[in-house]
Amino acid sequence: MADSAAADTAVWMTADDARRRTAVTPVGAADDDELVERIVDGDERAWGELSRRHLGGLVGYAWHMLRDRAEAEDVAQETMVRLMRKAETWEPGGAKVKTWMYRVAINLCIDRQRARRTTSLDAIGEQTDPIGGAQIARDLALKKAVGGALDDLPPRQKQALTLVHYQGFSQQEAADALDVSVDALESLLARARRTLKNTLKDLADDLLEEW
Amino acid sequence: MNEMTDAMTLAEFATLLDRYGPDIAVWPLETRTAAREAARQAEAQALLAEAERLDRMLDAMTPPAPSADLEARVQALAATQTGGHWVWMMFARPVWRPALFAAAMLVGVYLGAATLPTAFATADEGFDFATVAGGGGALGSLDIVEE
Repeated sequence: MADSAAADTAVWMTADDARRRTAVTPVGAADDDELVERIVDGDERAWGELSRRHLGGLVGYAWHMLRDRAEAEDVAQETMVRLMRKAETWEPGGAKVKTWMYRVAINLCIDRQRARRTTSLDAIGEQTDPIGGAQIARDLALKKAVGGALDDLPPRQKQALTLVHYQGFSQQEAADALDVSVDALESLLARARRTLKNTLKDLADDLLEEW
Repeated sequence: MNEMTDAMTLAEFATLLDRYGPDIAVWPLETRTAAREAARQAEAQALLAEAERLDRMLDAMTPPAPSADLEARVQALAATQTGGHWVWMMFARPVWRPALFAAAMLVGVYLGAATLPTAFATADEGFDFATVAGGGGALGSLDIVEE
């Protein structure tokens, strides 16, 4: 009995300690689930922290998919709006917040791609620093070639490569975001890399000699 | 000649390279030792160099950072939620749902009782419990109707 009472006390103390720790955890140290809980409680700092963590990644992902900065920002903003709405009913311990956000962004990008059917490779040039000279011309040529090769990939391969290479997702995270198995994701990555190596082989020989 | 080592062939090395990229440190743990051993061979080194070059080319595609305007718009989403919506969000949390359900039940019972048709009450006034209980035996002395 005494042991049982002690065990019960230990459990209650642990839960209580956990609540206290949660209450004092700085927003920067809180995980995404906890930030969402705080957002529901009206903590604007939690919202700011969650935005700081993910907004850049969302813009980056959408830009790689759409090659248009304004549209990428629209996608990122819409994703955050949907997260704000979802926060009300968010169930901690289920899907990761990050995975959920990228699923939303992936679908928003697909919708926009279907709507326009073309990508604007000219927009890639807008990212180049306006310094001028041969170096700039070479960088621009490289970006257009690489961007074109990426945009020619089948959509699922491009999504997989973008999540893993540009967004730094683990294989498991990317598989979750794309709702495929890890093995299927790795197959998508392998096919994408093989295609890109073949497509960009000549370019690599020409442009990367000085690298 | 595809045989690289006893543990890993060049074909296997190439497959893993396509799946995981040129950083062997992120390959599955069980493959790393054999992969590093295989990577000493010239053919594997050429494949590695090709994969590294592809990664460098991909790195040339740098996305824009979020504009200050976007950051402000997103942060403003929180500000616009202050007030009534935050109150709603608090009560929409799962932890409140049982209490809200119980409250809804109570309100329903109260409203149901308060709006019972008058005919029921009139009929009850004439209901003879004694008859139902068997003709006056145990309840015969109780004049429930009169009370």
